[in-house]
Amino acid sequence: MMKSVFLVDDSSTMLMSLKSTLEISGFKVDTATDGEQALGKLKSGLKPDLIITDINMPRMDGITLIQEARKILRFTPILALTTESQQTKRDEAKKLGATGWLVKPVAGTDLVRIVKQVVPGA
Amino acid sequence: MNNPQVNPGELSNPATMTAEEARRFQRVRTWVKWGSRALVLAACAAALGVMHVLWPTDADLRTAVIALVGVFIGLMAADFRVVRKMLAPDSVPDVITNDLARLETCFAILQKQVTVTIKTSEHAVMEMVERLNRVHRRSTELHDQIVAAVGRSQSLSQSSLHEAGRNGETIEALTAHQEAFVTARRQNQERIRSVVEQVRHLTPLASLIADISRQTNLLSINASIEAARAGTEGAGFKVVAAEVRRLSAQTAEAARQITEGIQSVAEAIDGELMAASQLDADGAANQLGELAIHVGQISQSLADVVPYLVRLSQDMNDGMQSVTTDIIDAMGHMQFQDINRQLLEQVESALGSLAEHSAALYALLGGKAPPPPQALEDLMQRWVAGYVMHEQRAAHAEIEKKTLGKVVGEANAPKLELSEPEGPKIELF
Repeated sequence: MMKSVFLVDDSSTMLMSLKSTLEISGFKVDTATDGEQALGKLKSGLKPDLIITDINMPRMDGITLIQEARKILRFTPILALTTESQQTKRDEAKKLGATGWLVKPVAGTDLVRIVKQVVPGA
Repeated sequence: MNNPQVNPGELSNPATMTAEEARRFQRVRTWVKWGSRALVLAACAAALGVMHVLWPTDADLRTAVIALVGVFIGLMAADFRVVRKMLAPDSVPDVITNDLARLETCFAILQKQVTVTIKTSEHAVMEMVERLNRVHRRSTELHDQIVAAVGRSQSLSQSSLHEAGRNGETIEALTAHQEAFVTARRQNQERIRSVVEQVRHLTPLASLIADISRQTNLLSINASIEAARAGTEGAGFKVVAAEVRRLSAQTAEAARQITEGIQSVAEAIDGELMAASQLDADGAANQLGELAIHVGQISQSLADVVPYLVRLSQDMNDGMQSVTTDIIDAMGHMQFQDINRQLLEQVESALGSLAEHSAALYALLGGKAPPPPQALEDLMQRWVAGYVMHEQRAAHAEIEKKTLGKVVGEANAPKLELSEPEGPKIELF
């Protein structure tokens, strides 16, 4: 069965490029443009196999999204894909339940490799 | 971190201060302000304490007097020249001088941020162009392989058609040969039957001759006996008997020769039949051998085609995989747009705050407004707090280091923590 990835980023080009990359690699992709919209979709019953979220976003940032999403989906892997590289932010995300931290830009093949690594059965 | 060796005289001149010196200067000024206030309070407290010890029973009046004295002493202590200078707000020239001194660094940082943006764009676009070129090259190679495969398929088809044509001719020849063979065999069988019939007619004749020969021999023996019985008168019969015996022998010899002749004719017929059969067999064998060669050639062609198609399929698969990988990597490099967007958003925000700050300074020069609520140095610290990526911090640190290097020398400029990347690019917890 096709695995699903939920992309959250306020950049339309990021969403477009990541969605294309993952769809070419055989994943089903849903998207949201900020943390609040993403949380709404999760509360509506969306159950992706993986969440990839930006950190610096309007309305609700990625750190808050990780914290709230973890209350709904306890075991779904969550990757932060961001330009931010500060260790304090990494530690905070890790403490709130993030699975990994990727600093933009990430090569498409590296991203696909990591996604397959963290999604069971992908 | 190593502190740079700064000429103490330069610290008193804000125009020549570096960012680090300015930060230290600000810290000292804050400490002095709070220290002087603490001093005033301590003086008051001490005065109250003394009053309480000296006049424990009449505290109210004495408390007030001594409190006034304490406050007076505290204010006197706070009125030292240095402290008064520290407590006093910066003069307008000082504010403008400080900000102008930092303005060059400010613009250099923004310039560097824009340069980082340009480099990020250039790098990403170059990578994407390289990937697209590779995709184009690989696509061209695949196209050439497909054209070669089509050409080879056409050649094989023509070869197969040619071989099939030759096989058709061979089969037609074999069919004609087979029909001729059947006809000839039928005719031969008729002729053999005829010959056999004729031979069968000869065999009783030879037996008859043999019987005549035996009877003639018996007759000659009887004649010889009668001739012997007749004596001299039978001498003539004796001669006749001898002639008859000789004739009998000749007849027997003729019968033997006839039998041998029949045998010879039979053997000759067998030989002819065998020769005819061998001729037919040789012709069919030759035709079949030629057909087998043609079929073998077609089989060899097909045997070559199968591994060729497998190899072609593998090449196509590898080519498509390579093209897909390049496309995925090219799309990964599109992330530069998001990076540049954030870099430019920061520059835009910084320019906005700089414009507000400049407007406040302009109002200050005209005497229409108080000094800006924060120095340019503080504004720059706000920029640092707003950075979201290593490239921004590194660019800022590089410019600060250069500015500091102008004062203390490049070699003595300290290593700035901002320029150090934090953590790996990819980390799984």
